[in-house]
Amino acid sequence: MVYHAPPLELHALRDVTVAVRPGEIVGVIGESGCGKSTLANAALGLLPGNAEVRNGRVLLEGTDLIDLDDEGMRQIRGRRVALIPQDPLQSLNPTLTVGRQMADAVLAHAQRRGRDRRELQQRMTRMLERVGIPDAAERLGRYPHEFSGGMRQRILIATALLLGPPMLVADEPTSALDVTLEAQIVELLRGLREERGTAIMFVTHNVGVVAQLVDRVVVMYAGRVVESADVTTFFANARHPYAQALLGAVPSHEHRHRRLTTIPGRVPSLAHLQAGCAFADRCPLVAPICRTVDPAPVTDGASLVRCHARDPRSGWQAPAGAA
Amino acid sequence: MSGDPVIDVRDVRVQFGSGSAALPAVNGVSLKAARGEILGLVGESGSGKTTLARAIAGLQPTVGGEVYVEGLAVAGLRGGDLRRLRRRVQVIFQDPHASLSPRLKVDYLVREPYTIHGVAKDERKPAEELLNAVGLAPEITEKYPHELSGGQARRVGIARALALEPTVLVADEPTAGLDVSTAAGVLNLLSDLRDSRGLTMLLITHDLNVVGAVADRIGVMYLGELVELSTSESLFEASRHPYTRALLAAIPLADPTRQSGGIPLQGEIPSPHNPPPGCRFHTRCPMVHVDRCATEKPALVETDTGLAACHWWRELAASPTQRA
Repeated sequence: MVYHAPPLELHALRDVTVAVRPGEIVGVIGESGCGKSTLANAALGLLPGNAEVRNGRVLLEGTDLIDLDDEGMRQIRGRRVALIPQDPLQSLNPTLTVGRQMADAVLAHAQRRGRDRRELQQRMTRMLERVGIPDAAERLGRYPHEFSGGMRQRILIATALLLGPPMLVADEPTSALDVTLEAQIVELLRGLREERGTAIMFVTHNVGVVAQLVDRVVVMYAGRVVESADVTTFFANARHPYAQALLGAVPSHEHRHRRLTTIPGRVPSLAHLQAGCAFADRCPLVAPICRTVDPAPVTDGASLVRCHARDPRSGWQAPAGAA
Repeated sequence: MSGDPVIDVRDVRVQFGSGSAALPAVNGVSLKAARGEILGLVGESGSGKTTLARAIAGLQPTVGGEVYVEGLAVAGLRGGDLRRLRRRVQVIFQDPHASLSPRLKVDYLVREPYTIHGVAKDERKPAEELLNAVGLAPEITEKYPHELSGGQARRVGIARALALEPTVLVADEPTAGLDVSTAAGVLNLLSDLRDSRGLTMLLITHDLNVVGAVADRIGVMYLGELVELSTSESLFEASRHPYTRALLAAIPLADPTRQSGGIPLQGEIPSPHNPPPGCRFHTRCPMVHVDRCATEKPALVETDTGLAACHWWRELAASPTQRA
């Protein structure tokens, strides 16, 4: 997938395959600019006008979203896949009541208009109660500013769930929240998955939340999936040097006497990708082959890694002095 | 800790507005920080931690109590005296892009404090030297703020704060919005600066992992009050306040085989306009004994591990911390 930004072309997603199974929570991690949000938007059919999918498909329960027109997409969004956005305040209109905005979200995607208003009202009330908002019936008449940040995020989750989509895409849904509220939201998402079997693509930079919530981890770097593994395997034995560095950079009081790992340099510009592995310039394990040949994915059971150092076929030779 | 405290805060009160509509943001906080110490301040949004830090930096008028920085009373300072305080206490603001003027180059921005404070020309350090101290290459002097990455902008903010060679650095959420590796670099830098310059630092954050990784002592605030203060080790291993324990339990552990602790804290921080009677935390406390907690306010007392404001800290001392 390419973003056109004349005169440049940004290769935002390169050969990315990610599957989310029913009831599965997949965590997508990586630094800013690695393509996490682009992947989330692709799954929602929300790529902007300057995005061009050169090849590949985005399949949602068998339907290819790439082929759909706006009307077709409107039928899908909300009903079959819904978004939990990052910033609850920016995602709510301050001039409309919460009930009105929730109802609009339903009506915009409803197949026929003029549904039973009372039934809708009851459904919204039940959903708000489910996500932990007390006195829900009364609070439908309130405005967003009358709710705290945590409550607003709950309202958005309730809205996303109103049409019972089998899949949710959550883009950094807790990064604006305090740790106590974050824990509450994580608990809520876990419960919703249990009782409804909702599949969730969870985009985040919070490694702790990933460890506690998801079933599978996908690590993105410069528009590529560089590692994908089930959560236990990943945290016990991350294999890509980038994934290992991300885990080593997480601060914790348990490691207060060691220096935190940092990754030198920056994510490369997606407009000027060099030959070879995009991580080569920052990689502690870099070898000559990494500068010339793009590593192919190596799969081992359910896990995948793209790294010459982890590929027995590559003939990778560690440079002298490397770990 | 040795010598006189660099920061000495005594029963400080801050309120916004006045009369019956006044909002008490900091309600009688006392604490000290020694030279070369990193003191962390944590608490949820609305706990008053940023307001307290601003009061210490002389950026926020107080309505009661005293703040001393290196023995100098901060309250009531004006004009030249206030400027002298500001040279000693520098603040790194939360949003680096919002605190760097978009029209000025880095070269000017890092040396701007010299102009503001009228520092003699021969006492001014070159921009390259200031930037080198925070790990930035000299080429960056020619850039404008929008050309900087989040981590670079944060470092420029730190370089700017260090230009006046302060004794106290106040860092308000210095890693917010940064990628984990970039954040790690900023935390390493703050630790190094403390070691090399003996800076006293006040580190304000809602991220317990951040303070846990670098702070020597940690103060926990709730609804404008200090509820616990102890060394980082004690706080994480033997907290004597249920609010602290709830915050610790809420940290998502970066290990899927270990569950983060128990039930997360229910509800949200109450409005400071109408704080609960008795212990301010009793409405959310998992170990509340209503008859006492709702009526009698616990004092901040010395415990076996530090200071805590809980009637039942001895019971907590007898039970292991929620985290393994």
